[in-house]
Amino acid sequence: MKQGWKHSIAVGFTAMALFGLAACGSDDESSSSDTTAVAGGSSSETVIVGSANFPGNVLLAEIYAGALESKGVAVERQLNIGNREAYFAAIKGGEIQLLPEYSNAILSFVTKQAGGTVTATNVEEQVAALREQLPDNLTVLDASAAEDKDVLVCNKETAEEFSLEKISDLSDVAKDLVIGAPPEFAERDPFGIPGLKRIYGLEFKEFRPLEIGPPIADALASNAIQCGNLFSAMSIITKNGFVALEDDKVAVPNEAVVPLIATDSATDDVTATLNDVSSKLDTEGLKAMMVKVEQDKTPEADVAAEWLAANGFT
Amino acid sequence: MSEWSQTVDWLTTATNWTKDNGIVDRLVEHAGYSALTLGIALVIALPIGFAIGHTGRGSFVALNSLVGARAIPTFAVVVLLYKLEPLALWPVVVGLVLLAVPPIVANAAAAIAAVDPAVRDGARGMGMTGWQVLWRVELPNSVPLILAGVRSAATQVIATATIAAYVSLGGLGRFVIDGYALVQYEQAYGGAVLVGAFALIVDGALALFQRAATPAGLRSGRAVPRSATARA
Repeated sequence: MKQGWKHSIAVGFTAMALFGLAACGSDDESSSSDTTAVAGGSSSETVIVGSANFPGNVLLAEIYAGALESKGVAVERQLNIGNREAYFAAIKGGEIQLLPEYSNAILSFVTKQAGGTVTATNVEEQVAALREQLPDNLTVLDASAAEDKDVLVCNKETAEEFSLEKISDLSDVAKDLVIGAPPEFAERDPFGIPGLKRIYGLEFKEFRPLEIGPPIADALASNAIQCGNLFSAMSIITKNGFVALEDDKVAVPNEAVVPLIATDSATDDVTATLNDVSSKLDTEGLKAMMVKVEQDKTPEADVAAEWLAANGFT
Repeated sequence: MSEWSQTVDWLTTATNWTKDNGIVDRLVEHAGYSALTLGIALVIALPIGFAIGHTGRGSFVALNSLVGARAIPTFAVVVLLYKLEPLALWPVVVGLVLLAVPPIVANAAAAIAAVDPAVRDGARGMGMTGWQVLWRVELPNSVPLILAGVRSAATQVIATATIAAYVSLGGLGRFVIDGYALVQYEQAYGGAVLVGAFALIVDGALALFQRAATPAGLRSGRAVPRSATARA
């Protein structure tokens, strides 16, 4: 069978057409643009900025990175690492030096690792507790007024059917509802299956492991799940008419955005710059940026650059 | 404890096998997805392969498009279709069927077309119609190669069915994804080992079936059975 240039063209054309088809439709999650192998290759001055695997956190990481770069600090990015269980090991082990965290979530995480319980009830107490509980090589800088917390949302039809406004409204009906959340939700306290059971006495009919973002949003919209775990700054909540249930028993107190940083990297310049960023970030600004990221599909790096320019960093 | 010994530990703990959503449950789900996919793929691919091989028409376009079709990222297909009906099984099945069809078509077509022309000629000379030639001569002679295609498809499907876990379904992929999310790597590695072992076992079983289903005259490796009519 004669094979030659015709064969190659047919194969190449078909492969390209199919790749193009797949690429056009798939959701473009901003993957790290600047990853470099980390093993001992960076100078001691370089700050490697990491992030969790969701756009809200990638956005904050880009803001931190851009702010530091504008002050002449050498920066590398390692974005979309994974969930906290995964990336905390990286920053603790020194592979990355900085990432954006949320005061209650990170405090619960380190406290649970140490086998204790969280007693902090406001942001000041959370920051103080963190500085005490974190390993010696890590610390947190000033917390921002901006918050982005885990929320339990239910889709419109479910919220209307059962008149849901706060999480405790779920206590009688949860047994008939399916909840979607990332796999780690199965083991998390306060915001997870064991935590919601302990604080609200909730037991859901079924738990479906799904990624936060479009997978959960699509499942909620089609009513394949009735309730799901999203983040408060996400625009898909209001866009789809989901109802974010009020955390009336305060399972999750303040979730202030706060930089988690390697103590050695917290030089005067770096600290001052990041504290400046924290003082200028606020929840409304964050939500507005998330609309651009989620609805307009603007890459996080671009949205961050816009914010930095508007706030006097570049 | 090293991660490897933790994994061995996880695999050898009986409760991990028998508990709800344990290894046995996930294995059954995984086998179910794979079997359903292969069943559908065979129904689609075999007739197409036979038609191409028997008539000799369309082989250029079909076979070269199939090579390109193997480049389709199954994961992307599943994620796109998920949006149409979240949590349904069919997006996963469609993605896996797209993966399974090309090797079966390609092998079936090549197998039919490769039947020695002398054998085909002899059959026609005996007065067999086109259909009879296909069913009584070409197919039996092509069985080994067709089954090779099925084996290839089966292995790929079993290995790839792990993506069902990404869209919240079951199967052995659940151990990989949940193990990673919970930083319980023994689960993730264990899941991967199970998928590989399952694929190898199925491949081995199909190899035995292939041997058993190959007409005796072909097993010795001769291209032309001593007597085409006696075997047909």
